[in-house]
Amino acid sequence: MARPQRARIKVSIKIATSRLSLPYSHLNLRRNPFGEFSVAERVALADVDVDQFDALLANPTAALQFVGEKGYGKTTHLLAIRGRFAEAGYVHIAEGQRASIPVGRPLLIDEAQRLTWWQQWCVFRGRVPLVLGTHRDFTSLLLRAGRRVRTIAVRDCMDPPRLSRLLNARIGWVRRADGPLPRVRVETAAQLLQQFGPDIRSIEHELYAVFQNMNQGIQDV
Amino acid sequence: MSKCDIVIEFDQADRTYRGGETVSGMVRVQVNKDLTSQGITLTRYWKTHGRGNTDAGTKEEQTLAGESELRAGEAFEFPFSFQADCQPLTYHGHHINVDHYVRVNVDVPWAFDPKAEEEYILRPGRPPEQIRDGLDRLVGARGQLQSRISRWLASLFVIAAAGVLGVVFHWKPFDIFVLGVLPMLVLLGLVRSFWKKLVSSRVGEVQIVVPRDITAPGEPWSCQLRFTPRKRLEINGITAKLEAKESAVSSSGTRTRRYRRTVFEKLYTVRPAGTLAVGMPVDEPFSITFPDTEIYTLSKLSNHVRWSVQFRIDIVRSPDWTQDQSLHVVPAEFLKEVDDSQVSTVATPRPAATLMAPEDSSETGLDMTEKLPDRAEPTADVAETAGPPAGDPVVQRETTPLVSPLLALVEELSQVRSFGDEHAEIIQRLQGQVVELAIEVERVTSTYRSSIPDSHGRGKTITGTIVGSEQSVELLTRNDNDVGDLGRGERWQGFAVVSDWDTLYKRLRMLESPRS
Repeated sequence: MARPQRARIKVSIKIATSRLSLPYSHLNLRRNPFGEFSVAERVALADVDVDQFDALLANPTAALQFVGEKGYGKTTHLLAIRGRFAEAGYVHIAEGQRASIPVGRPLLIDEAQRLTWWQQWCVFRGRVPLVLGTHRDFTSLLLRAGRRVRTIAVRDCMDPPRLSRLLNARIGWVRRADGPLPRVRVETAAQLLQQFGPDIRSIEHELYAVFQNMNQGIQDV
Repeated sequence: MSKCDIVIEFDQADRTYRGGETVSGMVRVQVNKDLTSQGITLTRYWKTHGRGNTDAGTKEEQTLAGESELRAGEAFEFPFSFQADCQPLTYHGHHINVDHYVRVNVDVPWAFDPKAEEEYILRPGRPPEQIRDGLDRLVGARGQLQSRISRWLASLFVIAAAGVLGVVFHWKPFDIFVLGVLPMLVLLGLVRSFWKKLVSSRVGEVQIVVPRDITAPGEPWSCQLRFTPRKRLEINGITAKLEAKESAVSSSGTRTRRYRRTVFEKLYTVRPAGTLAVGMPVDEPFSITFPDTEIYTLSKLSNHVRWSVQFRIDIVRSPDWTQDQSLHVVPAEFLKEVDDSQVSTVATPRPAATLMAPEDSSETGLDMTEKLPDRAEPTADVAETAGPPAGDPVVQRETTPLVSPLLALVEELSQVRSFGDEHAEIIQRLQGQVVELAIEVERVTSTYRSSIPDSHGRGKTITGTIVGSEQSVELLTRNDNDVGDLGRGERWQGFAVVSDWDTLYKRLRMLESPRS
């Protein structure tokens, strides 16, 4: 028996088609400035004063630790220091993974709170200058290992003018051509700091959406 | 002032090229300061940008100039050209973007290299090798039962309940884990298992048959949903939700984050609300013309665009049954180009024979008024190679290959170079003509299409090749013709009419005709 024809009801909810033109050209940009950047780009854009640590890191028993929550800029500090020392060894210990410790002088360990107990023992007692990016303050362990310790709380390194400078540096980095660019005002930076604290990654996340929807052309935020 | 000003200009004003085309242009270098250059190189590559980690393709370099002394005020022009990649295509989404770049840099020793970079837009053109190789996949997906209990909700419930118990009974963390979390995980497992069994006890085993998981905008795509309810079911409907999702992974910082966004969503009603009787098989065909879109499947290390169809049997006062089926969506140009390149490999057919109009054209539901074109004039003696008597066209016998008039059509198709429209026109001209046919069988399956005549709706689908050629063919037999016992390598012989052309499989689609 023939099956009766049924009406097919189509409910269109959401359709977003891609735009095949030069990306972000309406903002005089090449891409969204608050997307993910490569390590090289982050190093190039790092706005941190790392000269002050040169003398400390000449001492083989020195330990410099950047302590703070995620998104506060620990990795940026470490990458900037790495850029200053040709012999530096750097490792980022990814979530849920173990990493082998490289050889380097100084030795930079990002997410050092993920070091195993044995790695902590070996690394802290080694005789090379150590730079840690960590959520956990290792001061007591490092002192017991005979280290000279300097601790930087990265949350204290941020203020509205500096944040505005950092964010606008990202925008400038992806400039398409000469001419005006969207800017992040200091007032906006202050508001963002109030809303997110010094969590720069969350601020960038917020601004990504702002720039993604900036269809009216170049404007300051 | 920089040491050099570098300008990259493309020949195409809109910088738009198709895969396989030649990308060409000019690099202009204006020297502002004296410098020693160790070479000027042009690099082309693609990379992603957006929320996720950057995925990038291999960088291809070409040298525009060798080692030289560049003097202030000098200006140079370097033409360049290269063949555009086939994929990935330029894509500008929300979390994910894919762009192709040309970068020129002047290598200055012990100094920052002056450089310039420009994008060009890559649109569909020549199909990549993977598409050519992967077309013949068939997908048979069995449905699975999934509960609607979200893992997140379950986790939240366990944590909240354990917290409450801990506070009420003043438990220590170990007690909370042993006395609170573990028993609740067991309880949730039991609830989930019960949930699944509940759905299974109602709908039975649900089977989704997907002939192919690769498709393109504008192409037909179909599948079949089959099940036999074990209980009388009141349903709010059976739906199929077609959606494309971006998924980008960002690994910088402490935590890896995954960003997801639905960039395309469309809901189809496969079957409206109603009642399904116990033991009555439900055999729902689902057939759509794939929507027009420029969002194609993308699968890179940290960036993905995924297409899927989610089937849902929405059961009244009961958990729903759902199943996701992944799709691989490519540009229509890829499939057409593949057809074009592969049809030329079809073996040269024999001379044409008689093509006849069917007596009962009304039964096939096709327009039988069209005549053969001149180049397919009947020439061969069909009587000598006539098939079996009407009503019993299935013959399994050892004979020499049948000289079929259909081979004329195959030859004509094989001579067409630009595939898309021309093939369609040829097929359209011959639609409804009865031809004698012998097929070397590859497989026989039940027919499950919606847009075919009722006379064939409950028959079988024979897939194989036309004897005497390498042309693939799909024949839908009549309801009253039982060919289920035909095995691989055996032959079917009879009469059929040309229905249409399957662009994906380069395959003729035919309907069995009752007359000889």
